Amino acid sequence: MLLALATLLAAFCLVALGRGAVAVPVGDVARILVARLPLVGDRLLTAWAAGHEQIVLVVRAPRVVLAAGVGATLGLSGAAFQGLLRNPMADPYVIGVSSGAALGATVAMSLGGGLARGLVPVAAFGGALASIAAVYSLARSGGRVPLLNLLLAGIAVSSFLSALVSALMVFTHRDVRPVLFWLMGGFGGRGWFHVLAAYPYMLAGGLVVLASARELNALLLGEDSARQLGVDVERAKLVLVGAASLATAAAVSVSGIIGFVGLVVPHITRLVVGADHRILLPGSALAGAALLVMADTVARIALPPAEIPVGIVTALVGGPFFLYLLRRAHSRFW
Amino acid sequence: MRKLVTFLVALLMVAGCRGGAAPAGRSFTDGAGRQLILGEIPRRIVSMAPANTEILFALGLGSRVVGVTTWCNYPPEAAGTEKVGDAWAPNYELIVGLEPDLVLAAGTAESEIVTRLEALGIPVFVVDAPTIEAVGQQILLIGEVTGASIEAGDIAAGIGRRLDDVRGRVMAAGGERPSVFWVLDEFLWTVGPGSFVHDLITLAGGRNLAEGLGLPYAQYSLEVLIEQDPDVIIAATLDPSFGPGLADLPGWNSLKAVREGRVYRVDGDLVSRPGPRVAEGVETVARLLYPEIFR
Amino acid sequence: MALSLEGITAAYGRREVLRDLDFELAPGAFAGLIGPNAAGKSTLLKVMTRVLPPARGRVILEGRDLGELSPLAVARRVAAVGQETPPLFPLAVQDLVLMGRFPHLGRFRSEGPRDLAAVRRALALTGTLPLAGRNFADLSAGERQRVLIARALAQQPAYLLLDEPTAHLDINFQVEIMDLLRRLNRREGLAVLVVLHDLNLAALYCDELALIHRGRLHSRGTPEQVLLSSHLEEVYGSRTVISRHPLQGVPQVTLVSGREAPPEERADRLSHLVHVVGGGGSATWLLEALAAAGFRLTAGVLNRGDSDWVVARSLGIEVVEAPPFSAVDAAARRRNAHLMREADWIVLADIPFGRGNLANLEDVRDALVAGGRGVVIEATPPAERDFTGGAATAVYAEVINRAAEVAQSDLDALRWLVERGALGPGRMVP
Repeated sequence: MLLALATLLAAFCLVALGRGAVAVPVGDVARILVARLPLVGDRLLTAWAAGHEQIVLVVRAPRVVLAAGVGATLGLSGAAFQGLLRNPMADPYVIGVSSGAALGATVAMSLGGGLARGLVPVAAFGGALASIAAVYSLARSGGRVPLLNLLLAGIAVSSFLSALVSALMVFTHRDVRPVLFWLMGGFGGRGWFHVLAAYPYMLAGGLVVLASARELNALLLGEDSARQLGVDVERAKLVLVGAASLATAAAVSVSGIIGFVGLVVPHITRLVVGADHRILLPGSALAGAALLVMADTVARIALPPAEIPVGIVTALVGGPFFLYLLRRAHSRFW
Repeated sequence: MRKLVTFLVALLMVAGCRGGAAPAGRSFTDGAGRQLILGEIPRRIVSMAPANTEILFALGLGSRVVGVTTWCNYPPEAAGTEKVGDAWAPNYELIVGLEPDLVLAAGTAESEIVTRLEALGIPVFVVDAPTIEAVGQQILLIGEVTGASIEAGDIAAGIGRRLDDVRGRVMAAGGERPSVFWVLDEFLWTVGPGSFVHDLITLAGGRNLAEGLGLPYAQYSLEVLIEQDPDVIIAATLDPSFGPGLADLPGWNSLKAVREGRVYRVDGDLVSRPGPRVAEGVETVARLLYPEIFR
Repeated sequence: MALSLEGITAAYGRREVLRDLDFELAPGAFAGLIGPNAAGKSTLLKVMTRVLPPARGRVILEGRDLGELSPLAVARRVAAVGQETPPLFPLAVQDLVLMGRFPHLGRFRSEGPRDLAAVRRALALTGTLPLAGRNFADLSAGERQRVLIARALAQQPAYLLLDEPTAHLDINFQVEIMDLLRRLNRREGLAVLVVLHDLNLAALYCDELALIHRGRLHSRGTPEQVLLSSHLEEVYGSRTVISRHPLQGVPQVTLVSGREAPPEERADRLSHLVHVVGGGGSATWLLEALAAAGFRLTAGVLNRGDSDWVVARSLGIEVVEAPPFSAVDAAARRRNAHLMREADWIVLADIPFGRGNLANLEDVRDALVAGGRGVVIEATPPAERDFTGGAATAVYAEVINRAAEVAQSDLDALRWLVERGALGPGRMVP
């Protein structure tokens, strides 16, 4: 099943590289990519338009790679948070990553000045981590972090930060469109720089989450049950919340707040592969990557030369598909 | 008996008019096609759009303007006028408190501002100029409503002359029209056919790169931008913080316009407001597109 | 080498749930924890599995303080089956049981053949092998409980702690689960500690019981020692009758309806004094039942430590006693005869007669000769109970001749006495 998902992802990536608002012949796309390989590449004739090489390598490729990474991170973190909090409504943003990032980004955009503009991803990342730290310490009580506290503190902090974002938009009298647009999320104009900036965190956080699959399984039957299996539950919470949030923060800081993927991809994956986190986690990562790569491709080619926000596509495509799976599964899920 | 009733009613109406100089019951059709009947020349006017404010001041009616929006920044005198909120979310209490006898709104008859003010019994006149050509007509209409027809005629004629001048020079220049990418923000939002700015670019002798866009406003595909490689890029803002973000876009720096130094900024207010400065806006853009012709 | 608690005080926040409690689960033991709701039974299990660190005292696992051991090390020796929390998401039985291997796996080591073998064995032991591929949530309550036990077994523990594994189960599943636990205890040598609500189930299966009351250990020992109606009245505040299981002989608790008898009826019965002659556990049920029915009681002569003696003492009645395993002496006989004279009724239980207690029988005969009213319980033919070579049978015949009633069972005797008692002292029929 994982293999099938990986194949699907690879296929979507190839389609994503091959299709775009500008029609680059598929043969040229292949040759442009192969030419980049060592040894083989040198033997190829450069028989394609220079503009096309730039479109494929500089515009499309980083976008596809970034969409895959962000999708994988959101799917993986969503599955981790749903399992950890034992809550089907949880998503990667549930404990305040997104609102923290939004506040950071909004502050950077409101400050104005060339320097601040470049700082948006950095500020978003910092805001996300700060809000997670705040939520975690607010939820702590008597040496433990009860999961319900974590959830409630997350909701409280998120609402507060969202209010601050709205207040900033109202009071700074600047054009609010960039902020709104950042909040909607998307991959337009993202380049290799964003890939290099976000991937290390997404990879590190993701690997730690993947390595915690067994703890998440043990937690499926409750905290006490997990403790009796020998799980150091408090440490597992800290590690999982930290790793999933770090990866999500990195994803959000380069892509904005893309909804739906982190909530629904784990459910879709669970309907297909079951709730065993050893398969569910990598499955959600692959499915999230595939969904977002496909959604971004649709966003790029649906209304050329215009682009549509990728969040609209993920919800339009993913929502009905999820309902279809749910009806077919006849599961006792709800 | 019937005569007596008619007489009394007429008497009451006259009394209600407080001896206005203009003939009672002047009827107008506003920009949204609504019929509006005004008793006398408005003395207390609230402007709900920056372009309307500019028109009113240009007509010499600044002293009659009692309220403007927070966006109304031109002419500088307008800034001193009482603010009633922005054009999207006005404060209706403030508007009523100003006791206006006319509100100049922008947009359509169905907009919330129009329906709410009507419900409050305040006369609303809608100004709507979706194209450059419509600007002159709207100025004439406002002149008529406010009793400043002569001034309005002068301004409209001046705009017409200056636009004709630009048209003539562009025509004379001949050759291929330069392609223009109009950038609104770092997410590459741009203007398409149906927008005021699209009209303005065309009039100034440019070819809007996004002429294939099916929407007046939309986010433009970066790869299409690179493929089409415009001659000129214009950013409609004077905000100094705008720009570095564009340079971070993949492939931006290899665009022809960037390499040749033909990325310009213009004052967004000048080119986006259907007001008395519209000719100046067209000339500004034309100067950027044809530097050798417009000096 | 055991899992033991030393002076444990445990609290949730500031609310103390266990106070200064000592307990020991020996290797291979089968122990039951009983007590009313909120007595602290589940908390005790949490303390024993390191889920709840004690506020004071120590938990010792095979000589080492539980707090100093890693969670994994504890989980390799002690497994627990909690009150069921259904998993939120669908999960296959085999995956759930595989979780039990958690304490045996390194973070980056995947499950090997040894782990799979342990899982298979756990499934086989609990009879859940055919369920391996099923969704846990789709199983019946009894199946789910067996799967959870299988998960605990996959941990390969030495101590298995269960919190009310039979709650909400039908009786067939209750027996199924308890049989499984006994099998694991007897064949696999697993020490089992099980919290049970059902006292009869506890008596039926557990070798030892601990009765918890308000966070303290009230009493512990064999079911016979713990399940006394006086204990249960103290702890639960309920009136009960303790009898013997007809097949397995363990004590069984019968509830007595909380409705009081009408006052005049109760007063009549209270005026009746019944002297019970028993021994060897033959009168335990009758003593409890008569006491519950409102009769005043005396008993004798009983050997100390005899289970009838234990029950009589627990009822707080006057007992004429003799040292364990010795014949009845002259002083005891005098006292016994005196009590028989005082009594309205003399009840002779279905006791076996030997040289040691032949004197009891003779004294009953003498009392009846002197005008006492006797009720004899003859559930077993007297010849089968005569270990005196015929001497007892002869005396017994005289007793039968003079008895007011010969009952076929304890219950018949109780019924007969209650009917007479209801008539009142003045209208008593000899």
